[in-house]
Amino acid sequence: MKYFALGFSIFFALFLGFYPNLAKPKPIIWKMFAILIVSISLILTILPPLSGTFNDAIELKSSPEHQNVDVYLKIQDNLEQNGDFYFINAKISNPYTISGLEYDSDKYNYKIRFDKKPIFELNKSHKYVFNLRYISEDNVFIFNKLISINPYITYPYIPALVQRIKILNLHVPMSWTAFIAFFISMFYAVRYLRSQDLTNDIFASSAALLGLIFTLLATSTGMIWAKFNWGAFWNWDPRQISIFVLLMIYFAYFALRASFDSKVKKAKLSSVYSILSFVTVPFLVFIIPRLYTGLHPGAKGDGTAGPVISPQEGMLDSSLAFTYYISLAGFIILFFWLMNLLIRYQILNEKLEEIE
Amino acid sequence: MYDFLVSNSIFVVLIIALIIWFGISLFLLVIDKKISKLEALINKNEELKNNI
Repeated sequence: MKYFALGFSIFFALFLGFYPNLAKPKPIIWKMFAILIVSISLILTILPPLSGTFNDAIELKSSPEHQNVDVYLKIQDNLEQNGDFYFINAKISNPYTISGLEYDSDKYNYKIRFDKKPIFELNKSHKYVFNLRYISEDNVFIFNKLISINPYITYPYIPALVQRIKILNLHVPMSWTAFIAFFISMFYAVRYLRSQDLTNDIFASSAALLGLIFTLLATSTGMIWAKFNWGAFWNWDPRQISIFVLLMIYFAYFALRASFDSKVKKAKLSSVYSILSFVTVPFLVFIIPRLYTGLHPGAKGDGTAGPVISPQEGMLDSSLAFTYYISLAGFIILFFWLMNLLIRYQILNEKLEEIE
Repeated sequence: MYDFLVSNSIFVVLIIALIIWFGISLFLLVIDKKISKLEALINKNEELKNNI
């Protein structure tokens, strides 16, 4: 099912991208749809709350930074006053299992303490996300703040990532879009060599330029994330080395293009170079970072799925996967729009030069 | 600043989203500038204007 959704989002975006033509202006409906899907994906990336469990809060009780955990829960009884405090019993709302082990069960009731009477209504039929802190002396969870009531979608709580888990919807689509861009560049390079039509060369070079921009964006966003998760902006992790080599290869493509005056010679040699350099892309993006141990998710010996979708159960949360596919489709459509602008500019430029 | 971003990690996501949008807007600005140059060229030359 996940693979089907992933394939559907990519092929849908590719279909829209090639409609009606790479070089023709896009219809207004197309542009409105592109803006809509990118906005939806951004909203779905930033807004949803995290859904931790009571066990997370118990495990993190002595952590200085993350002792306040967002817990997704349902209320079990009415608010009762005891001295200065108000108490309520709650159960975890989404019990889930990872590889057969029950991670948190809805069999247990946990006690939540409010320091003052909550101003919102506590209803048994609603689900809540509370920011809680565990106090082991009293075996009670102290209510910190209300995060959400009846959230439509929640993301999994991972103590090492916290909100940074949402980078999946921003950084990973950049990389995948760059891969698609380099593939399109290779495809039109082959078509140029077959047809000797300079329009195909314009398509190939525009796709390569946008692929380079998207790779740079993936690298810089990954660097910011690395500062907070790995401790430094650049760690010479296998993934970082491979993306660095990839950037060098495609910088060399533009250096090659800049070194010829003759258009035909430029187009021919850069088409051959584009085909050759695309051969390295699957190795540098998908294979080499998985062969070596490293810090990036998906490295050898790392239990997580990494940037690709794992067949194992519980590896990529289904709500995260759902929003990831939307944002992947959104960024691919945006890539085609940007490429469309670049192609139209270059074709017009060629025409003007011919007339002059 | 670093400690603030560690404890409020949603702002890291915000920075990352902003980097992406700044990158794409930079690209759009460059394209916009190039198209303006073409327009100026066409407007300057009456012959070109009639040909297009």
